[in-house]
Amino acid sequence: MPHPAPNNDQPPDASRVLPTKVDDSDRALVARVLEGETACFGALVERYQRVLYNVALRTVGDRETAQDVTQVAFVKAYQNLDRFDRRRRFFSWIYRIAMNEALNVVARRRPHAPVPEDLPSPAAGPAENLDRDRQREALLAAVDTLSPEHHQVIVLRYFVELSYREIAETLEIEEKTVKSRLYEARRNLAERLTRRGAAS
Amino acid sequence: MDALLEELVQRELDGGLTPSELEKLHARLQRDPQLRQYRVRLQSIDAELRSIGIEEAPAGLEIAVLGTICRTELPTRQRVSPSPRRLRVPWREALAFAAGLTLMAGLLSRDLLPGEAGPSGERARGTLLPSPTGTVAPVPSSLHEGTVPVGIRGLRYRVFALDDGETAVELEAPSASPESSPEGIALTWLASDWSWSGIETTGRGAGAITVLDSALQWQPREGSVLRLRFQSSGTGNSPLRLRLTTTGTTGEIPLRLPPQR
Repeated sequence: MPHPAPNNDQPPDASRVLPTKVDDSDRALVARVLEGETACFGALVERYQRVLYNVALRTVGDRETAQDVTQVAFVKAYQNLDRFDRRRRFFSWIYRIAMNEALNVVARRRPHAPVPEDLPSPAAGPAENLDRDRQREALLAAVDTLSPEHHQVIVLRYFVELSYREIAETLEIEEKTVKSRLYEARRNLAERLTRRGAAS
Repeated sequence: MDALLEELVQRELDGGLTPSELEKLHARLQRDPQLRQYRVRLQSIDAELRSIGIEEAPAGLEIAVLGTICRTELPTRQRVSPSPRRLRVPWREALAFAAGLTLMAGLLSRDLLPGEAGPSGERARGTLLPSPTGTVAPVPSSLHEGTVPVGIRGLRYRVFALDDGETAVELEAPSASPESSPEGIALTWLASDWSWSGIETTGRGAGAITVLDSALQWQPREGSVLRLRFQSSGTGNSPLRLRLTTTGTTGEIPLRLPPQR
């Protein structure tokens, strides 16, 4: 039975991570902050802390570092707010700041982490009675080994629940590129997990 | 594997197939075991990724961010530009620090010090800072100095008479931060007959204090102590009023002191 999947152009539900249709509001808030109303930055923090924290968490892999990364991203955004091009989406801009910060942390920590060899493959099938937590750990470890381009689309698609169009806007790439990256990322995950499953 | 079939499998995961495409895929699946296996594998990965879900941002993240930017001016007005990483606030410690200062101020303002109370109404200002829960403990009325039991190791206050007859208050807050992360205190207002007479850090590895306008930025090390000193040139019975801002929260704190002797 196929997994029920959301329409890729519709938000999955009302509790989605990224607020919709906030671009104009974001720009207005940025303008007010630049005019000296520092407190308005709080609204931007409140709006995007959850999504950026999840992006960071799925990139750096632990909560404490993810919190640091998110905090630093907001502070960097604040310090460079006058450089923000208000024709762009604020989320695209701050997302890039957060992602760069997270990738820097990962690069400093473990440039080429291999997929753990002793973890089971989620593709091994239900009959093998695999522990679900270990499956998840194996999958996340495999996600960590993806290229940055593939990793980004997996994170934005699954952990931020963006549509193809929203991912395209966030990454400032074409929607068809998003699809091809996502397909390739999932194919790579399947291959890596199968290869490792066969080896273990 | 046929690229077109693989795309159908991939698009099926996202619910993007038309009925005719779905029919075509299912027809092919019936006679292609390799495609079936691939589809199951992708569905398993897709389901597992979806099941991981989204976490809430940690409580305190927003406060920590706002507390940091409170001490960071916008680039167009910026005079000092420490790097963001240096500005990172250890929010747990900072919140505890703020709570500790608050409680301490509350203790000092509730006539727990010896001597007569101040004029009526003066103590009504209170504080806007959040009260620490479960930390208020009875303090002996004769206590002039001591450790405030608020869960912050070594937090102390001290009220004393100076040689020249003036009254001074010291607030001491040790850093609980194991790494050298700054903590900030914005001191923005004082009563006219009180003056801010000193600020220093003591203890092993105590870091320097930076003063940006009325904001203090402290670079603590573990075991170091921040000491703020205020001095009265008035009658000794007027409350010292401070407005402290830490990690984005501002509170106005009256400290009622014993009369001069």
